[in-house]
Amino acid sequence: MHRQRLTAAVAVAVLALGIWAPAGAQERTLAFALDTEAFRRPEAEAVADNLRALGIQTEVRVWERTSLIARIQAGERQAYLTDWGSAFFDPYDLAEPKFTTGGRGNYSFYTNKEVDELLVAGSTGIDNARRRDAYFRVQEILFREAPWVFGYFRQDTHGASALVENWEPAMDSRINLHDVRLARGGVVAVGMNTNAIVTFDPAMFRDRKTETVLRNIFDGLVTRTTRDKVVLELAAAMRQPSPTVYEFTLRPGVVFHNGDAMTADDVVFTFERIIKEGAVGGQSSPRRALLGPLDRVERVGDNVIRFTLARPFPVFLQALVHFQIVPRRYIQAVGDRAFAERPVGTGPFKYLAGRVDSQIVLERFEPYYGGAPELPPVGPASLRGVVFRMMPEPATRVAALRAGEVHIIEDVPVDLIGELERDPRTAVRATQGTRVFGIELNNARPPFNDVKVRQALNYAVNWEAILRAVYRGYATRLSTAFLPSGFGYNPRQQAYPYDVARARALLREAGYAVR
Amino acid sequence: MRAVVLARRVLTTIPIMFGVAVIVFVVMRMLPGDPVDIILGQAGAASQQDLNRLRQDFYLDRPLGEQLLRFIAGAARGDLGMSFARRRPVFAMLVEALPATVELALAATLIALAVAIPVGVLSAVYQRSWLDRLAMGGAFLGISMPAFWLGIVAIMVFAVQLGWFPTSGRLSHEVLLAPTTGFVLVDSVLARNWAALADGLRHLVLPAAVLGAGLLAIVARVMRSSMLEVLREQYVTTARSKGLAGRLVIWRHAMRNALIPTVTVVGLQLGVLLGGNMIVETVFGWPGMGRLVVEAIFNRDYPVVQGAVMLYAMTFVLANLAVDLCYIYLDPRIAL
Amino acid sequence: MATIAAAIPPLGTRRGVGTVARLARHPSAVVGAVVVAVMAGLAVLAPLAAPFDPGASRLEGRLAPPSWLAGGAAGHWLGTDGLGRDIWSRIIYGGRVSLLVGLAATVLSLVPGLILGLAAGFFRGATDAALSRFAELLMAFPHLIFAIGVMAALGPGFWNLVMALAFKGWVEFFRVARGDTLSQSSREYVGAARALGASGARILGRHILPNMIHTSLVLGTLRMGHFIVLEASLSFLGMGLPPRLPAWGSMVADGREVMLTAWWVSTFPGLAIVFLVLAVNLIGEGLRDVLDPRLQSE
Repeated sequence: MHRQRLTAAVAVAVLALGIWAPAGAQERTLAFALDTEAFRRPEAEAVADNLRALGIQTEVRVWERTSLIARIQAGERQAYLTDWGSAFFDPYDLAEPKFTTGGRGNYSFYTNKEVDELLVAGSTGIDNARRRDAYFRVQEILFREAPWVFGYFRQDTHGASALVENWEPAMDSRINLHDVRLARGGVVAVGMNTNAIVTFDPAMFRDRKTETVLRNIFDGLVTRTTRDKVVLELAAAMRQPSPTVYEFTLRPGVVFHNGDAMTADDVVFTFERIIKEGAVGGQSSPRRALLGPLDRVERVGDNVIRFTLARPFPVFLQALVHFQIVPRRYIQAVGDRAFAERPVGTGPFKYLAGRVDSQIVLERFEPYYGGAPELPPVGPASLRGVVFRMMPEPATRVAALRAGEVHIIEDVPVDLIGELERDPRTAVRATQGTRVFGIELNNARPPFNDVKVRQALNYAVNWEAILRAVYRGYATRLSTAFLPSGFGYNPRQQAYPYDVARARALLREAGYAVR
Repeated sequence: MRAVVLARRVLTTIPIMFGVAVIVFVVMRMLPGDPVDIILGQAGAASQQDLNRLRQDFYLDRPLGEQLLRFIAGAARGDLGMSFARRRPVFAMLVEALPATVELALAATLIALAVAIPVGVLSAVYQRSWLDRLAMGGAFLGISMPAFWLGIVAIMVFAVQLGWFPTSGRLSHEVLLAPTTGFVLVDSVLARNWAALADGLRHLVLPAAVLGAGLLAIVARVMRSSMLEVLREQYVTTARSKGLAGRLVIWRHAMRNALIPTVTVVGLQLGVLLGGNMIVETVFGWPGMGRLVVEAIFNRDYPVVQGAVMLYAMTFVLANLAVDLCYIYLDPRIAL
Repeated sequence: MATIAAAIPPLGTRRGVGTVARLARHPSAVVGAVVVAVMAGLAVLAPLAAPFDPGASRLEGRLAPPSWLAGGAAGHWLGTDGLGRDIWSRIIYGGRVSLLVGLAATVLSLVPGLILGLAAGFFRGATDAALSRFAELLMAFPHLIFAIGVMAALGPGFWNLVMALAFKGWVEFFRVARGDTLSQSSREYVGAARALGASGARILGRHILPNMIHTSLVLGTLRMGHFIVLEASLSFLGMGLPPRLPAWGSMVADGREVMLTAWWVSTFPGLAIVFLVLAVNLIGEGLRDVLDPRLQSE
């Protein structure tokens, strides 16, 4: 009796293994959820279509951004469409947070000691050639190890009325209204793609929309062309006596909107507010890390300021573009809170009225010193005034531009570009964006801890077709996660081609069933 | 007597408000997401030091119990804390945003009532006529089309094609009006700035009509059905048979009674209008509470969400109170 | 004794049959029922009825106008959406999800609301006080904000969406049911049944429930449309169903960016919602006419 049962059991087990084993060990199906935010849903579905064609089961899930990021950071998700913005035209604020082991933005849980070292070498070295070599090497490694399904960057598409002259959108999202002229009327209205900007205090925000508005009210020591070149603004001269010391001589005769003359003390105050803990009315600025290893700021002459760094930081000048000078005496007199309600700067326009969440009205500052000499025209703004209006709904922004209520709008959806281009009264202006879009994979967990699977996915997505269809060509494929506009980009590095055969082969090698 | 009853009603709001405060506190902290990480954004460099400094600023490094106590104790004093994202007192932000929302909600209610009550009454009186069917059909369109669809269509037709109204915002930028009460219409009257009043009204029409569409539909239907019921009541038929003029009966006697359910619905819907208009506010670029709260939820800006929900709850409770008071006026037989 | 108890009309059964029969003679209810039946039929038979695969994107044919318009794509008689998917096929398949979302959210609001309302109205005292306070508390939260919070906490998914809608949705049913139960319990026949020794459960089930359930049913038909529209609003705000499930609400939300140029993307699913809500309400109206004794003379 017992023997019989045992034999039967063994026979069943052997049979089951015989049928099961090949199916289980080699014919696994690759299945995962592809997470995205609502705004990239069409793209995510197109990617999923590509993967399904190979027999990969892909389910797209649409999340609220914050919940998704939290779950990614907890390591709970597998593959996710994410993006990361860079402002410094350098891998320092892009590759470093995204690929350093344990980095704040390292959602793929990628870890490679060599990459960690190379990235540090890149952002702290003094010799640009060696920095570039380090970054080239990083791109090689990233390409080979494929921690992401590498994606693309976009063109930022803005709309403008035909009345607007001499306006070119800037790559760093600045909307420089100082240089703009209007064929009729003297007030330009800008439709902003946001619910609200964060604040009027240049020390208390991290987002670009706020900076877009504030850089018309405030000027910095340096500024940027519409591309990546840093030029002097409030500073008349700059010298760098050693790799860790920068000295700026201030332009004479600059006044704040309240009539106070700008001095070296204002500059020192501006940066101490950011570096020191609790220096903004008892609270701390969220901008500290943008200044890297900046250690101290001091006045060394009547109008000379010295910045001392703890170690070399080659992107320091790019960083300084994003720091606007605030009036020390005014802030100390009225307090930080009141300053944030009624900002006073040295910029081409001064605050007149308005709220961060509705519309902000600025008027021309007549005694303006003229702005960066390298960015003509120099002198007071041509416009009498400027209005920023918060219009979060894209259809409304486009409608308002067509109705002539606003003259410039941010972020025209690609499907509405044709509409504005057909209309002789409006035009679309595009500039290269500085956000990297991609699909990050959780490298710490199966199935994406296997480099073959990750590479296979890179071959399996037909990016050219997707970008052409979904973004109408206003997006460009990237070989890795380095931007061509940034330092250290290797133009020779080719992107993964769309190659279904190789994707299939790699998946098979990794032990997955393919179609 | 009434004063005592009233006072008791007001007192029952305290435990409700306390419950709301605790629930919103707990729910917000159950949402996945780190408010500090959100402020630093999906961009650029940040250090652990940055994260820690911000956590300290927001008391997020303290135990939850302490945070809750801080919130409740503050709220009891009228201090709702500081917004994480904007670093401004939440109270000030709400005071700025509330008038915009209330103005829009009241205008929407006004438009809805002005259209819905006569339509509802006529539909009932001429039940099953073409007018009745048309009106009720329109009502379904109002209920079933999401507000953003109506809003974008309205902007397309009335602002872009016809150019009758502006696309968005509360005031044109050419019109400068210093906020005193925050209500554009009130402020412009106070300042005797008639241009601003006209401009404010022009901006108000489209969003108010779109926001009111849903309410209009509901009120018209409720008005119609309660009117139908009242018309069948004994005293109306009696009055009619006694030869009182038909019109007088309808407008004097029947309507007054039929208004009771309508008032209830409007009172309840007012809460919905205040709390559910973030979509209309987004489409029309209207700087009100709805947008503020949704943004704050997405940003995990706990103090703002807490403060705003408390305010909503307060409004809701007060609206209910007001409904009860309307009952007394409309039907003296009902005791509180 | 038993005979007297039997004399109290067991409303449930007899009325049930009569209701359906009377409903079948009610013109607007019939129209509503036919529309709902057609929609449900299309949804069930979607694989046969839909000309295209609702998920099949064809990127080169995206945002094509309806076939009867200039430049329209042949075969796509309601046009295509942002991924080149056939809108008519998606509306047919979307009926499955939308009807299910509406129905599930309504049932999950109605059943707990009704049971708790009955309990509160019948037992009164502490039960009533506790439930009523809790309901009032939930009422004080705006529905959409509450739903956003729940969706953010739970993440996307069909049942998560239904939960987000029903979490607060039961309160209305609770209030109505409680009020009805209170007024029914004070009626004579309940007192009589109680005097005759009928158990609480029997009184609730046999006497009170049948006399008040119609209010909840009517309210339910009204709420169903509301839930479907609320799904659209959540999609507008970027949270809702997994995209493989086409739902009318999310389809309307999908098309909003291109409303200026490709109006068909959100308008046709929107019209589908209008027809469904209209039909469900017509049934609700018929139900009320038939069930409300005061209106029966008509």
